[in-house]
Amino acid sequence: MKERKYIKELLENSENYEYKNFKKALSKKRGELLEEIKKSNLRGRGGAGFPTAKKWEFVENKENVVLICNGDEGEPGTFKDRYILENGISIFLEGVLISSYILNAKDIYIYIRGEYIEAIEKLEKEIIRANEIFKMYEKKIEDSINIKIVKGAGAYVCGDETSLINSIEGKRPISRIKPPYPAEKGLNEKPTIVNNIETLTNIPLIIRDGGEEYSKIGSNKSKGTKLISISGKVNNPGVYEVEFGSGTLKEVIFDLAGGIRDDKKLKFVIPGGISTKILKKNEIDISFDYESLEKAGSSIGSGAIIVGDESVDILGVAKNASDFYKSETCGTCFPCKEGNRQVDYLLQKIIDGKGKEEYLKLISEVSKVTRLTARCGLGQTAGTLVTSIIEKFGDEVKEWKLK
Amino acid sequence: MEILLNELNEIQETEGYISEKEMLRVSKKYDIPKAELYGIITFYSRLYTEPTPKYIIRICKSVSCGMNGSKRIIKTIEEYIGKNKLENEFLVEEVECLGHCGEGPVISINDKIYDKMTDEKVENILKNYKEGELK
Repeated sequence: MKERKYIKELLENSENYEYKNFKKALSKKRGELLEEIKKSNLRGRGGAGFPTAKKWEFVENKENVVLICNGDEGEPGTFKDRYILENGISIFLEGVLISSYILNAKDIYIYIRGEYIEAIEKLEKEIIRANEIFKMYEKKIEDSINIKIVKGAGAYVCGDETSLINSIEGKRPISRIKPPYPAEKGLNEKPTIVNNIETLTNIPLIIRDGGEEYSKIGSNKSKGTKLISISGKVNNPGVYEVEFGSGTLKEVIFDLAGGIRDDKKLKFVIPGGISTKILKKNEIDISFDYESLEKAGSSIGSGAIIVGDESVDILGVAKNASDFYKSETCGTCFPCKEGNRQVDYLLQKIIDGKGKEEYLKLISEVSKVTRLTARCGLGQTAGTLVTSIIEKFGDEVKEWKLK
Repeated sequence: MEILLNELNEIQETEGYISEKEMLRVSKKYDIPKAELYGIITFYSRLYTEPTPKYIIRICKSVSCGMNGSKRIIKTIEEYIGKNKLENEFLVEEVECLGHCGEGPVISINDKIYDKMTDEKVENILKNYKEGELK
């Protein structure tokens, strides 16, 4: 299997970029462009995989639409948005501009986590460099464009779109109950579209090649490519671009990332960040696309592939995840606040050698309740990894000496 | 629309923390009750309501860095700080993912990233900060 450099090729050749695709887009009607996005079958790359055109249709013909670019990349194992921002900021900005034109959104907010200093600096400079482009845009639409960078300040939950909106509004960044969805009532009650950095970076390619051509890339149901971040016990960790369906998850790990380090054996793969189900070594011979990962009970998620070898203690991985959700829950809705605390508490008991058999059932039950009742994606997916570890690593669970 | 979070970040960067005086000023400017503003500030891990030392060391403890030995690095850093009595100059925090998972274990010192940490490398870096070679 080989890397398919579709987005990367554009990123790599983006110096002194002239925003060709944006200029092309401006010569067309909004409806026509939306039709191209629809034909492309692009799905959101942030984690949930929601069809982009479908999301955009919710605000079609609405006034005062707001576009928010979600660059609060915080899912452990994920660093592909940083890669885009550091290596091809103008392509991302072009995606933002084309999207705002299609959406008729004159208010644009680009939210980037505060740790990404280089990315923020590059974006600030690029907005200045693209001054002429903005002028051309404003002349075309006979209105002004308001673009603002918002710097995050360290809160994973801001990756949830409703928390992100609260954060930009200057409120405590807790999640909101949906509905109303942001497309109806988002930032300052205006119709709001929130898209991930990678999703927006796909837009220039769809405009350049047309939706139909774009949709020829990928598998039956997963179109385009995915930027994946591989980390853990592999020889060559990093960001790779994979055409959906062009190979298996196993090939991604062994062909692209060079296999397992130090001649050790593979033990597990977390395929899409710590909000997705773990896969055992015998479960990864599956095509890398949305449908195959879903069929295997997991998900593409954010594309953060975390690889563990035989030396990794699986209980430690579970505890690491529970600890993460316990500290990152916004603490507003009871199931997420209390559920995550309890799961973490029970795992700590097991680690301390004070575990009981019934704890495993309790962890699964608490996780289920949190999944079904939490109000945002953080809580809904928090127990996924831990429960899948308990389900799949029964042999090791026996070694936990539960009473 | 003025962005409260950007202003808070700016105060944090220039002052090292957000003092009560600044909180009062900001609460008036944005017409937010002081209590609410305090709730906002303390929600974010990068904002502080007490003065911070010259350097903030953040060590990623998330899963990828964890697998590659972040716990040992944390111990090494804490021992170095303790041995050299540098508690007033360095604040050490264990944090979640810093977005450099492919190069773990990763730490940042005043937001400058240092990756692929080993005991030797991290001690060297701290020594350079201590002696003023790195700022």
